[in-house]
Amino acid sequence: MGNAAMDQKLAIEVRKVSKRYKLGTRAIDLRGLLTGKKLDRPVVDAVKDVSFSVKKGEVLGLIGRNGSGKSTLIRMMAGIYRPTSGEIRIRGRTTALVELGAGFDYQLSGRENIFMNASGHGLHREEVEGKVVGIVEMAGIGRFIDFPIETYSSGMRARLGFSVAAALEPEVLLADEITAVGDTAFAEQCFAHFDQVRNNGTTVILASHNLNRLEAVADRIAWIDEGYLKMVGLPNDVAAGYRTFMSERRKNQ
Amino acid sequence: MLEPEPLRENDVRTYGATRSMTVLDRTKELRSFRPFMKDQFRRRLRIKYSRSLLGWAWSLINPISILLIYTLVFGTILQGRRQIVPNPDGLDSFGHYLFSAMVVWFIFNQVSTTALSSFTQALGLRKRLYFPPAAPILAAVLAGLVTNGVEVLVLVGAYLVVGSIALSFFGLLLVLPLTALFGLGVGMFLAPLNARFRDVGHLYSVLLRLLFFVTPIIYSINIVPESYGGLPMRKLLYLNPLTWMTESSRDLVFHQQWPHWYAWVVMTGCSLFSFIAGWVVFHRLADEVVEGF
Repeated sequence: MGNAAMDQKLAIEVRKVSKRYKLGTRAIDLRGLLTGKKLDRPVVDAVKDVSFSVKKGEVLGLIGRNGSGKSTLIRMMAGIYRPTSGEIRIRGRTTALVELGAGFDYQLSGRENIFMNASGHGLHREEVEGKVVGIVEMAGIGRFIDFPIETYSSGMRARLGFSVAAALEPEVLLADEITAVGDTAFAEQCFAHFDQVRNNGTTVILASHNLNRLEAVADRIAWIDEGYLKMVGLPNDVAAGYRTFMSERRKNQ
Repeated sequence: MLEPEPLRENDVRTYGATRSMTVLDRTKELRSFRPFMKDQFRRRLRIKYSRSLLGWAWSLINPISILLIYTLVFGTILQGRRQIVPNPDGLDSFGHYLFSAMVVWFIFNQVSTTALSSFTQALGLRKRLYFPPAAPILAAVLAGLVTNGVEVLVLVGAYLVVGSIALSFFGLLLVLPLTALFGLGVGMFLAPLNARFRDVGHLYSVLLRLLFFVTPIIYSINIVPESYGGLPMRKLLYLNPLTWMTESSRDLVFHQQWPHWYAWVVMTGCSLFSFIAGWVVFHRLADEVVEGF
């Protein structure tokens, strides 16, 4: 907390953000086009009027049940989806780990995927070349680096994705459920990394179901439920609230 | 606790519906995604002929085989050669005549089809990695233009071996980029629609086949009757912007003469209109399509 107290700059500001997905099959759309009538498409409000801010160098944990809107929120912070209303402001180079490893092209080798992934974050091939050795070492995939990603196990893909994101040295790191794949050693490695980069002033947003781990690593936790921000605060408080909520739900079922 | 310093405009990115980016912002944004486009471009080129023995030779074999087949069918069997007025060198080869207009078609076909399909192909990646929607299209189209470059070299070769390269030949440096711009506009206009309804791509390939035959490529526009059944057929052909481009290209390369000034005006106007309209419509629809399924 020492660094965070010294540096009071905000890294992320989420202001009254909502996200509404319009569902509906193409057939409905097509019929709507032909008849000129606007058919009411079913909608899902994934995120509802959420506001919070994150200071530079802070680690914010995101918890919530499946489908609560965590992933949508992270994707919006990454610019992948746009809010339906409200706005998000982010300061600094941002890297998102969404569906870890799935952002890869499976036909390409691990090495080519490193270049592709890094290029999406504005890095030229020449700048990345020096980092490849470190990435391969951190991911621990050895000679597999020159094989197509389709030959990798899901754990290997996860480790490679994480290592690439780490090597990009982002100022803001958005991570969605990345510890869900891979073994305990990998999860340990991830959390250790978050702990380390936080000291360098990297802001981390971390969605995870591993509540115990979040409690240990996060400065604050935000709890999202059914699209609403239910609670945000110190890890112990929010975790306690979440545990009570979940056990009561289980009893009621 | 101290009040945190609020985020200022200049060093932050803002994502919001209320101030979603304009088309101009989107265009400027492409600059910082040059590494991404470069990477996509390289991979396109590499993948194109991977797992093939002849590799890049195919970009020679493909146009040459098309030209040979069409020359045989339309030039020799259907006696298309008779339509041709020999050029200043006395050249009346159907192959040369055909190729002088076909090169425009190769470019239009490649650019519009690539633009249309590459957006749909990039959607999967776009859900996990942010990049401006136009970035993968530009990279793919540029990679496709490399293949077109090989075709232009074949054209140059064909005229060096038989015939000659007149000064007017260099007019292609204007006509072909205008063609590419025209095709890019058409493809970008259709790209988000195709992502939503794949029918668009299938329909477009049918329309392309039709378009090929209503453009004077395998025939001379002079064999088209001025009027047929009360319809001014030849004038109708000129409603097709590609007619202006193939005719200009044929004038420059085969007939060794410069097109009329109004041909340049029409071509420039059509290309700019197509490109700007396609670019704007694409950016209006692209974001919704990315999230729309």
